Amino acid sequence: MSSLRALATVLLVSLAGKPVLAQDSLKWRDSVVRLGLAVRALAESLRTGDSTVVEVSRRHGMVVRASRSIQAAGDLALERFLEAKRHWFGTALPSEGGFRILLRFSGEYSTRRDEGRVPEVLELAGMPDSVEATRVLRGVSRRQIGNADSASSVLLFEFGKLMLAKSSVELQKWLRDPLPLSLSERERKLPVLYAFVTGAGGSQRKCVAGSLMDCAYVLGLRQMVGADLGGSYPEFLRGDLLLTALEAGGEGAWERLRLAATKPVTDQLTAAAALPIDSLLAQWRASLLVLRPTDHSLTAQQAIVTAFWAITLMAGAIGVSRWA
Amino acid sequence: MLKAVIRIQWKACWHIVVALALAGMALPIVSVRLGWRGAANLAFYLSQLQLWGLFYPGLALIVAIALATATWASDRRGHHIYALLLPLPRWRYVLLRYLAGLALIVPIILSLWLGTVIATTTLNLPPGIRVFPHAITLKFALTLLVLFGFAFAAASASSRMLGYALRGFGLFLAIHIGVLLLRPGTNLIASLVGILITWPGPLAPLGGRWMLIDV
Amino acid sequence: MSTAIEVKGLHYRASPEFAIEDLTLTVPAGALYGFLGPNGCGKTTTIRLLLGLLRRDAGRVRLLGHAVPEELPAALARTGVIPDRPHLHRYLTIAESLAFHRAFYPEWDAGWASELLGEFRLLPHQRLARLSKGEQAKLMMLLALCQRPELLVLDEPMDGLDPVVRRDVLSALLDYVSSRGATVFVSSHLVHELERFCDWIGVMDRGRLVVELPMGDFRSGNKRIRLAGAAALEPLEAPFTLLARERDAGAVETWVVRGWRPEMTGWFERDGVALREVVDLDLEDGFVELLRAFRARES
Repeated sequence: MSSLRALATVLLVSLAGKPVLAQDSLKWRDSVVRLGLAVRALAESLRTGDSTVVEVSRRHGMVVRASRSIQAAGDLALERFLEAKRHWFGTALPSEGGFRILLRFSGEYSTRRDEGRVPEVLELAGMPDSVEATRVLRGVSRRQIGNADSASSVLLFEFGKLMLAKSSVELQKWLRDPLPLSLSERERKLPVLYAFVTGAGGSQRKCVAGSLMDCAYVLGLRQMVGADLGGSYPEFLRGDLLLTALEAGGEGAWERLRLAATKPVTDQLTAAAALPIDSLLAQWRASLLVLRPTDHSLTAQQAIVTAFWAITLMAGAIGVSRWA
Repeated sequence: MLKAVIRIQWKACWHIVVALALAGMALPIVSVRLGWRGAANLAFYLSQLQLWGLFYPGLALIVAIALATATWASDRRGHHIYALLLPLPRWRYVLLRYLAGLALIVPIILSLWLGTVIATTTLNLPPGIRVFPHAITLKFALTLLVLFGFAFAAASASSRMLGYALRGFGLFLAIHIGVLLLRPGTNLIASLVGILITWPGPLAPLGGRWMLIDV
Repeated sequence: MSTAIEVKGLHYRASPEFAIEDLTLTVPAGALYGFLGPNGCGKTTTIRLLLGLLRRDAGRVRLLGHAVPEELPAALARTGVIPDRPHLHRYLTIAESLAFHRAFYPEWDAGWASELLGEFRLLPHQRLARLSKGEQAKLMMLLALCQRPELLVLDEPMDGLDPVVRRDVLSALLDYVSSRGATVFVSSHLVHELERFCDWIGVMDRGRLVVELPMGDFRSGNKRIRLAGAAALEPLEAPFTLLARERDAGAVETWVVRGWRPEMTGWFERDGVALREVVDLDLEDGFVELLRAFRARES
């Protein structure tokens, strides 16, 4: 570390002259802060043993830096992340002062620790870099980030955590779990479907049967007094409901959600979805039921193909039965 | 002639047909009743049913092999001499045997269907849970049709043809190993299996969901 | 139709050691043709080639005018067959076997089948697996006869049967043949068996047809002749076929000949050879001498 400090000092001294050339003090201050961030990043790179974390891509106020082995993935990951982020959150950001997400994967999920393996590092920073940005610096993600799809999905997941942290306390208490943004729609909805349909409580059964009031109850949106109470769904169903609301609301959904932060969760959801709560619940319920598996039986086309094969095999049997 | 062939085939296979028909009827009933605790543990119950689902194509395979082997056992013992001395073309005799085999498969399929209906109608299922007695029976029937075709062809083959088939398979294996050595990662066997089990391959009916009860 | 079975230039290689070569035989319609030969000479192989159970390498086969194998089903519809080994489904009962068999033959004579069941003392509920050899033979004969064939091809039908069973089976066969005028092609290695009822005989050895002629000619024409003073005689131009020649003590020779007729004594007297004795050979002796001569020629 002593050599590092020496290096930092040299850099600071050598660049100290630059502010003299700057035309105003504010710009000078910003550039010093940026320098501090660059040094810190360099220090971190040296600490992790990977000195090749470089900027890979910069778009729409976001910057991606990646270690050598995943630089190509990093560029594509940013593109995909931006698209997904726009879909769910619009132009909203967790902080006006910027943010950083640092992902590091060093083979910890291998069956055998890969000794000497250089960790994969991916960093997403939202501009502008500022002092406040350091406060929203997130921890390390341990999921594999070696390709653009997995990298962008992990980035989105972490970004979702940042966004949720800036939403209302009530919403966070209601959700409890991070938003399942790293999963594809099908991966997310199938476990939700199974949990939804197999709920054992009386109200859960009624929700499945179509009672939206019971759905609201078992999702923690409404209190109920009466018979057949019982059961509540796991929290990951609530995350799916919120995402359904954001999708239903389209552009500006997250903004509307944020603006309704002082209201009860039900109102926040209706604000996001731009739908009454019952319509939202009905839509959510329908979106699950439509995913019910349909490949229990064969289609007419498949039956015809099967019959064709049966006839072909029979003809084959005739062909191979040359006993004489 | 077909009736006569069905009669002798029934004589040869009736114990197999009865046993497998009983198994076919029992399978859905046992799979559904075992582990049923009402709606309390539906998620676990459905995951168990998914495992039981493997028994359907397994039963189809057993039926196919057992019936095809029993169909040709007596002819094989006599070196097919009786069949060759009958006053009809060989292809027609094989066709008669095949149709008779199909006729003997029908009771097994009907038995399975009956089992699925009994199994699903005796349960008080919560809303949202669907039952598929007819779908699974139809899937079983079509799977059995294809598997019986394979087994019947293998059982009816002459020793010479079986020899060719074995040699052909040996050659394919040799090519597979050669290709694997030259281009590691190229798996011809996996490709062949993939072609067989994805539509419109002949073994595609074995895929999909074999769930008598599902969401 | 004058021929029931016609074989021309039949070739078949069964193994590197054995082949049927250039076999030509003709079975006249209505004949009781005995196909005679020692064990392993190719009788069963020939019959299998006739019936399309084996694929020939060359040659032509016709059964009742139908080319084999192109028109084999048509030929088999009119042909009753008893192969060398039991070929029926052993798990069936006799009644089930009959029911199965009759489904393929529109001409099936159910009445006669019941009669024969009684004559042969076969019980309908008996399983084929539990029948004795004799009972199996009787059942196979019953099945072959009750389909009312025009041609019967029988491969060693009496082999291993006791005299009583043999009599029963033969009696049924001859009854049918005499009433129907059917052709019978029967193989055997037992000469005396065929001698009793065949009117034609073909002798086979080592994949070749040695001789084919009416039974009468075969029976009456085989003689053992004792001669004196025949040492210098060359039988090349003889009107008979010399099968064997042995020199006994002194100047006496014993000749075995085929195709002998009484007037042929003149041929010897012409050369001053004294004919001491002319003895009829029975069929078996004639058959043995025939084979000996054939093998001597071949080697």
